Amino acid sequence: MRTPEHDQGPPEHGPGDIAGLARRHGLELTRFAYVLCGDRQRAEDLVQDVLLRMHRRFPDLLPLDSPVSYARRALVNANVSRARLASSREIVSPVPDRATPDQQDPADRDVLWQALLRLPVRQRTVLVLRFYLDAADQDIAQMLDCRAGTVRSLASRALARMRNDPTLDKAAGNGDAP
Amino acid sequence: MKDRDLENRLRNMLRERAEDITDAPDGLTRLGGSQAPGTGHVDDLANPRRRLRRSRWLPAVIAAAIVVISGGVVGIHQLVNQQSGPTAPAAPSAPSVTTVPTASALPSTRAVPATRASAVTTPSSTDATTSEAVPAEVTSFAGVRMVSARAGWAIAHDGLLYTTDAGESWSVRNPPGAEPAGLQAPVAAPPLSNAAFHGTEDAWIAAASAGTVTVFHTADAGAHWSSAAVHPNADAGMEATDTPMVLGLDFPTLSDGWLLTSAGGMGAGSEDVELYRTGDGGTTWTHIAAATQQQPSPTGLPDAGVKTGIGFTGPQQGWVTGYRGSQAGIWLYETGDAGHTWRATTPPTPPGVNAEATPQTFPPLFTSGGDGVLPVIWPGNVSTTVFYATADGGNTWRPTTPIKSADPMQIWSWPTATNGAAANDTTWCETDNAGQSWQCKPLPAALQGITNLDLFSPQSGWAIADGKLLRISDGGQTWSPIAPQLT
Repeated sequence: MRTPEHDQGPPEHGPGDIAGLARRHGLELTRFAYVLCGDRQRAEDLVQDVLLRMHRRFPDLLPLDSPVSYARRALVNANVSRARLASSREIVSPVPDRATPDQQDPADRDVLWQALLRLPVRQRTVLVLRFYLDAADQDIAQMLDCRAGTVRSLASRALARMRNDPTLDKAAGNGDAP
Repeated sequence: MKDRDLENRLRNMLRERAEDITDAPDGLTRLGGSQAPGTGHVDDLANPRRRLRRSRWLPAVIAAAIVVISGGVVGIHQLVNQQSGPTAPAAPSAPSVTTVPTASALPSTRAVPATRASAVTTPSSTDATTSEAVPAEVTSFAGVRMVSARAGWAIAHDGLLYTTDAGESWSVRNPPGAEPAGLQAPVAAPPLSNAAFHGTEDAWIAAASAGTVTVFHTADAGAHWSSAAVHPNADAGMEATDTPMVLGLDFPTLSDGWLLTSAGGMGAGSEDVELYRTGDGGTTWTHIAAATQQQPSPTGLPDAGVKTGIGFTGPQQGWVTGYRGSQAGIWLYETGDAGHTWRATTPPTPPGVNAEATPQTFPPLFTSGGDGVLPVIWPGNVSTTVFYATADGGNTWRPTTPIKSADPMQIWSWPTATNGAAANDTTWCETDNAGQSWQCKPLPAALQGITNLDLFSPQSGWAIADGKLLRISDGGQTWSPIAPQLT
């Protein structure tokens, strides 16, 4: 599975400790959590939580071939779990960070982002895994504990829902105009 | 828009969005469960910008990990403060962030005893924190639990609140020394899942801090509180450097209570937990079971399984609920001896449910006598929510008619054995025949953003949507927001 951040630091293979994982992959994991949940602060919470739990579980070394993959999967599960809970709506509700004036996004990008965040969490997760991590359906299925067919179905429904999103449609129309 | 175009735009947008984060995050809000005042409030959750800003949490994580690995017992929170520059002082008690999925709503009602015990008085019993006598509107409700038609409890920005006029006005009833943020349930747990109520005046609420869970008890609606502390990490033989999480607190009687905590270790499909019991209304607590990776429980309560909560129907019989991670099959453990031993139990899977899906069980809700329901969700492409019903105190569970929806039901409340309601982001379903049939409709507009539901009867109830309190009017037909005052 390729990640957009693989170029930014040495990949981590084999046993390491949580400090090394945090140092080398903290930014990558936080970015991933951010596109999963749509909120920077909540992404930080997710990453912190996952790293500390990994530390509690593996206090000495991480007996994992790919601790980054393990952490990503934990982030996915944590985010899905939170979103599934009514009380956690405040944690992962599709309300993105408000951009500060100097970070204002182009309108179309923002509309697309908003439309993505309006998707049910599993549909959104599948799209993030597929288009952000370029993960194969089988890999996504493993992360979500479901079958590859379910992944394809979720992706299909998510894309259909986005295509039919009126705000996105409008933005696309504007963008397509000469 | 063509599919390929949409996919390309998604790909580009996601990578651009990710690059908005250019360095280590600066918002250390919760590490190891310790929180600073101002974090953990529902306001802060709803509005992350209100959180205290800290810088450079990653070094703190690293330092904390190194210290813990080396056997240090310095609290992670202290490390964070040392590493993070100017911050607010530490809160003495606060729940930690948890990724543990839990039920989206707790029992709306429980049989109210005819009499209540006399107030528990201990050396630690003290007057409650008094609120300022300046009326103001209550903000940011997170949870509400009515214990009579007019009396009830809520958790909000100011902490634990109490009303005697059906929610029109509320007074702060925080236990002394407890920060309001510390009284919040873990962020991924249902509001008030760390609390239990009996009658109109008895209440217990658990607050976690580093290595400790303090259970507060009042027998006079919060005018006075007593407290007792347990130390989950120490009891499990683990380092007391992390804040345990309160997974559930239940008092089926005035004297019998159970406290389920997470020791923090959670892997794929497993979670370390510890269980405490009191037989004297919370004055003293006894550690009766632990299930950790390092220390498998001889009681039968397994480390395997992510736990969602606990529920007891009386002094002996109870359940721990959860799910298996990637494995199919209902995860449900039952005790018949007050929690000393546990065994797996598997209610029958109703027809039409994807048997390969991983169902999640949530704490049973008991209404009266032996009547109760056990919520079980099979998430999936089409999610199925089933409320198993019992009429014999949980000895047997039978599936009722499944609710199928694109997304699982997230909130539910059962005011009586026959009347129940469930909701998710888009749909409201209700039954008046114990789940034999469900009438579903689009979620009423007033309930958009619903996060908590507490039906006191089929015709009366409260809900919280986007932090605002709503009440049923028109005999159960209309939800109306109210503007409660803080007195």
